[in-house]
Amino acid sequence: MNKQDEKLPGAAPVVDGKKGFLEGKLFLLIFAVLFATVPLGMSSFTQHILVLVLFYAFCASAWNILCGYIGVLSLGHSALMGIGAYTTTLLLVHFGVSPWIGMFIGAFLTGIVGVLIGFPCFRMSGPYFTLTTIAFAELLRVYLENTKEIFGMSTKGASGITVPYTGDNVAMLSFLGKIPFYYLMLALLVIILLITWGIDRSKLGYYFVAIRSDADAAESLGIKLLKYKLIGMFISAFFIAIAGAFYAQFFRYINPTRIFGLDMSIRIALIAVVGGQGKIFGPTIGAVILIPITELLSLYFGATLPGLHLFIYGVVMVLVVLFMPKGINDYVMRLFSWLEGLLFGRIRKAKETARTNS
Amino acid sequence: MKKYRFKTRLIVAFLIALLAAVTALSGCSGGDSGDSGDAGDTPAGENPAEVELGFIWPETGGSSAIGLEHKIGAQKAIDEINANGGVKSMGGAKLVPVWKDSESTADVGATKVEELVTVDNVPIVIGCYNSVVTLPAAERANALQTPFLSMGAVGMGITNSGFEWVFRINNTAEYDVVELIKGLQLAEEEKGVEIKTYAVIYENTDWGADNAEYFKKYAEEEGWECVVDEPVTTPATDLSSQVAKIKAANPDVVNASFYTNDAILFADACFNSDYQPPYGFWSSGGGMQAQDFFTGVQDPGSYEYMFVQEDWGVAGPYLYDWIKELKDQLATEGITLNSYFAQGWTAAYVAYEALEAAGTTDKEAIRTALRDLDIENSVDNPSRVVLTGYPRIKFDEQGQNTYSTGTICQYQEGVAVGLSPVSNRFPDAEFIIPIPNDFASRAGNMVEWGELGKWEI
Repeated sequence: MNKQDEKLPGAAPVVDGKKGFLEGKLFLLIFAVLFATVPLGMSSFTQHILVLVLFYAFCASAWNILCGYIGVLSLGHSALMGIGAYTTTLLLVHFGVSPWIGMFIGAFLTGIVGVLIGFPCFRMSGPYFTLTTIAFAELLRVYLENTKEIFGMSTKGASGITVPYTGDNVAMLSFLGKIPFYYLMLALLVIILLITWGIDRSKLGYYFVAIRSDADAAESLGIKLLKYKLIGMFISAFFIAIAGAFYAQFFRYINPTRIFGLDMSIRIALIAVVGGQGKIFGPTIGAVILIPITELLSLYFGATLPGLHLFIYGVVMVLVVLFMPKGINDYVMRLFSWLEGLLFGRIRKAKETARTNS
Repeated sequence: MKKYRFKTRLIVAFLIALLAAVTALSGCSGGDSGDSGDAGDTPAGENPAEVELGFIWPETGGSSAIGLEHKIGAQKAIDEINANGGVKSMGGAKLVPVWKDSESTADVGATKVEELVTVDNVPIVIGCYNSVVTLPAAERANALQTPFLSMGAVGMGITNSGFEWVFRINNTAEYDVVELIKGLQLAEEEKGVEIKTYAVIYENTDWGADNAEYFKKYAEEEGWECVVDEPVTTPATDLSSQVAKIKAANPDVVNASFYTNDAILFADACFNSDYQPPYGFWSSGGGMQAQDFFTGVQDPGSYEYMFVQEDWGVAGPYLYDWIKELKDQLATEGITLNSYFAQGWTAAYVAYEALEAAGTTDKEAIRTALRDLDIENSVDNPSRVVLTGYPRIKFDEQGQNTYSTGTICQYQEGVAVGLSPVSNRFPDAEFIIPIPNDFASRAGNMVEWGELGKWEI
């Protein structure tokens, strides 16, 4: 290691002494406090954007469990989200089932659909798998655009379904303000991050990573590829369906063109890839950076020249992918670790000096 | 060394970007404080210098060509209003448009309403052309208790969902089709022909599907038989096989509903297949009204003899002096007067009329003003508000203007000639039915799109 490398972010100053309680968790705690308090006192629009940040962080995290950890590229996750959204909404509109229950029915159903799709698709690899997921999503989109009813329940085809507003009603997951949606999404994000953390440290996670690193080697060591890919698919589909149910309640309108569309799948995948796939916080970091950038570009450049904000967004994406191919996650983590090293190193140094002096 | 510096620069750049994002986002939160003089409710006795109007049009995405025409129309109307002294009941406050792009996407429209209402603090929102964008946007405006003027979207849900803050100036999908059917009946009567069969081909969006559904409903009442019902997934890449299918079924009439890009593909496929139904193509508009359609087709002959429901009184320049003057003025700036320009213009003017009547930016007062709004328009008593040519603007209990009518036009020698209703008919014009089989020579008889040829005033 040369002298310059020693100063690299992430290379914390080496100082003897015990690790404090906060060390390694400082930024996690700061962000936990920040996320818990940031929407309070903000305007409704800012709260709206913050909900979207959490929503896309959740979606990308769900995508990450399958695609980031196992290393397959799905561009059909919007279809799984759509199944969750449509199941919850149809149960609500036609049977008055609370979305709290509907979202779990939808999530289980989507998990099963995911496994059924995965069964033939996982036999293919690389671009063939990706193309199959796109085809599946497009198939469902076209079917729903052309179908007026499913099992006697009106889906209104391409016109989409408006979710009835039932006032501020916790039991029906209906709120006028953004704050309840924000904290619900925050709770869901924490749950999926904890599950990802659990997977990351479990045998299951090691199997996933082994498949991603070298599927043939993993198989030769006795890891059943299909089984673990299907497990990944079930978990991922389950959570993306919950995101779909949330989307329906938050926007109170779903239509197949948007929710089953390729745009949605690409957006989710992009957030995870840019943030850092296969990392616990990668998708969240991606959403925290990309969603506000999208909105801010629209806010400041939207009126200048039609499409300019989308152009700039595209340029930013290209630059990020070119210069940070492994995602922003690594840089952020190293920065935090460096800052922590500086801070705690100084504290320890001060303590040591005080001890020597005494 | 180099590597280190490069990485450091990257991290610094990232931090700056993050900082800028956080700063700007926290700046957004200041929207509630109403720090700008033109934002928020005006206290009694005080007049703002400016009043912001929030507009959401599709400036990018599949309907961008149309949305940009709406934008120009609205801007021209605002320029005229401001030049005439602004909102007089507010001491001459000038109107300032705040433009937002819906990206032709459903949830983006709803997000833009949120932004306009809570960040820009506009007292009224206008938009959004696409029904799938307008419906969630209207729902959001309704939830935020902000008057929402819907212009361009024809989806039924916009005014039958019980929204109390939503007012639609233009017609619904059903009105459009009823006008087409009336036009067909008039053509049968005047030309002594009898329609027996028809085909519907439409893009599979809410607008396309609604149009086809209503067309089939009313055609069935007329006793016409549907021989082809062809939904098309948009965006299409080629429509030749669908055209071949229709050609084989040989219907008397074809009802086509597409936005611009697919409309071009359809027209090109028909032209290249040498196909034209005997009593013509009949369209509710959409892409077949947009300038990009006429300039984008391979051969202008592909739209000759086509029937299009225009969402405005195309005979306006013949009937109203002020529309003729406006048309000439716009021509000097290279702008063509069409239905989308007219919709943008009328939407901005209706918002102005509501503000003028309310005398304040209080949203409740603006809603009351919209409910009470009653603008009549006729040749004897013309209103500059109604460039769209409606005889009246008066909202019913659901917020729908029940007087919004368009004109059925037929392209003759390259000009959209108003035919139905008779009150919007061009001088001495008549239906050309059955359609002549002159594919090879028709383009030679057509004027450039936008010119009026022998109908020039």
